[in-house]
Amino acid sequence: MDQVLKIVAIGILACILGVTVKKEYPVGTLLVSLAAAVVILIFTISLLRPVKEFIDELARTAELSPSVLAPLYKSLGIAIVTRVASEACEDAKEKAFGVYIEIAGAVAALYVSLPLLSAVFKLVSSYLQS
Amino acid sequence: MGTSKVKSKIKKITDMKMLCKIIFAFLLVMSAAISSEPCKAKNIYDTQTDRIIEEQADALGTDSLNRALPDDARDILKEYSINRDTSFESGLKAILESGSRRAGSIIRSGVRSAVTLLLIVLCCGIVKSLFEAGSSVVPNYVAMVGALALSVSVAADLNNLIGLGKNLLDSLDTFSKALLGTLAAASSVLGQPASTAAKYMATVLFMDVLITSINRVILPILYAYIAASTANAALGEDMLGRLASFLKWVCVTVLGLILTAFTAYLSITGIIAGSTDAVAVKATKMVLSNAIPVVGKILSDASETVLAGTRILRNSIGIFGMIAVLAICVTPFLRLAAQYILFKLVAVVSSVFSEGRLSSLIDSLASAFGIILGMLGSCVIIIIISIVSVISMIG
Repeated sequence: MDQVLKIVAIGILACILGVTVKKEYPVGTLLVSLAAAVVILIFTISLLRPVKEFIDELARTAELSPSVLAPLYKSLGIAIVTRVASEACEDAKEKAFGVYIEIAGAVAALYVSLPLLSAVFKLVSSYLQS
Repeated sequence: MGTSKVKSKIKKITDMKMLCKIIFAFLLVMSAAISSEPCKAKNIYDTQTDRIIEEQADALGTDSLNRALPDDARDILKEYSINRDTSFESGLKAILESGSRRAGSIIRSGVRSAVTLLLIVLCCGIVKSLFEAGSSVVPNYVAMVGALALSVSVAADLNNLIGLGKNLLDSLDTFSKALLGTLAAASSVLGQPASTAAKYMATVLFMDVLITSINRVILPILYAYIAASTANAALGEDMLGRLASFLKWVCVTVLGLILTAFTAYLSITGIIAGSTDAVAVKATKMVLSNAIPVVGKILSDASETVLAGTRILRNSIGIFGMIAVLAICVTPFLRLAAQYILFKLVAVVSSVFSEGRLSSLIDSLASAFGIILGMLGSCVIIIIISIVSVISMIG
């Protein structure tokens, strides 16, 4: 609950600050927004840590290999980070940069999921050979 | 005068009493004789039948059936053997006891796989809810990675169960050949060589056709179905959904066609060959009774006793065969059924909190288990229909 209150406070503070400096210094609004996003993201990650621990515990119980979960975690992280960055770009009226970031995120997700892809291809080729 | 009348009356009464006593004693002896005669005859008949059954069992080599059983099934049917007391209920009880003993570990293993799937779906669901909270759309690659992770985590189970299915098919093939051979020999003694041979040939032929179709057509198509379903879930937009549905339809239709053809073939050949056998049996009995002048009738009656023994033996072999087939299948069937039901359950649960693509992939994987279950079920049905049709023939 404390964490949520902190996040809410930071969000409102950043919002007030952004609106205040918007007229005089428009770039400042973007900087404030980005700084607030980073801080909120850090708090959110700390909130998600117990959830991850719970999932890891379940994975150990179900004997799920960490090599299966690791690409999934990475691509989920990539999805969140790239979306935040792309939204920030859109706020700054730079939609194109947002799209670049999204594409880069998709490529990065594909890269981190390569072990899974190769495992599936091995599986399919073993099916075809049998 | 009066005294002599009284005396004669008393004598008459005494005579009547004596007569009654004699009649009563006679009735008592007769009733005892009537009740004891059939018992003796029945005992003699039973002993004779038992001896005939034992000799015929030796001649037919029923021991080879026990040897044809896989170790697991032999372990289940420890105290179950072919004799005149072979009952379906006791065999079924042994199978149920064994099934209930193993159910715990089978369900635990199934639940472990289901938890694995739920975990992956849960991760993707968390991201989906995060994105939906920000009123934005989840990137396509999240579901793709989820689908790949699902496929990789299920691969081991799928390979294990397909291997289990292949082994079971081999075991059923070996046992059914031994069983139907013995049943065919017993039925031939009962005077049904043509219909038994037709049924034996039909079963062997269709089992071969089914096993060849499974190995060369259904299993490769099943693999293609799993691959298409995974690719469909990874790519999204339901690009390969129709292909996956078509492949599943092919698997189910091929199995259905083989079963329908088998049933039709069995019915047609059973009717034709059955009437031929009936005529042959009638002619043999007539020749035996009429052609041999004095002992013809006795020989005909003696042959009836032998045939009764054979009929009991044939039915016992049939019942043992059915129980043995069920014992061979019980563990693989339980494993596949548990996996099928749990995967279907996970598909329903996951559709609530994650991408529809992932839940439809889990549903497709459950269907793959269902197809393996169907393959094995078809083999079992072919064998059981053959056994039932052979033992239900009137000899």
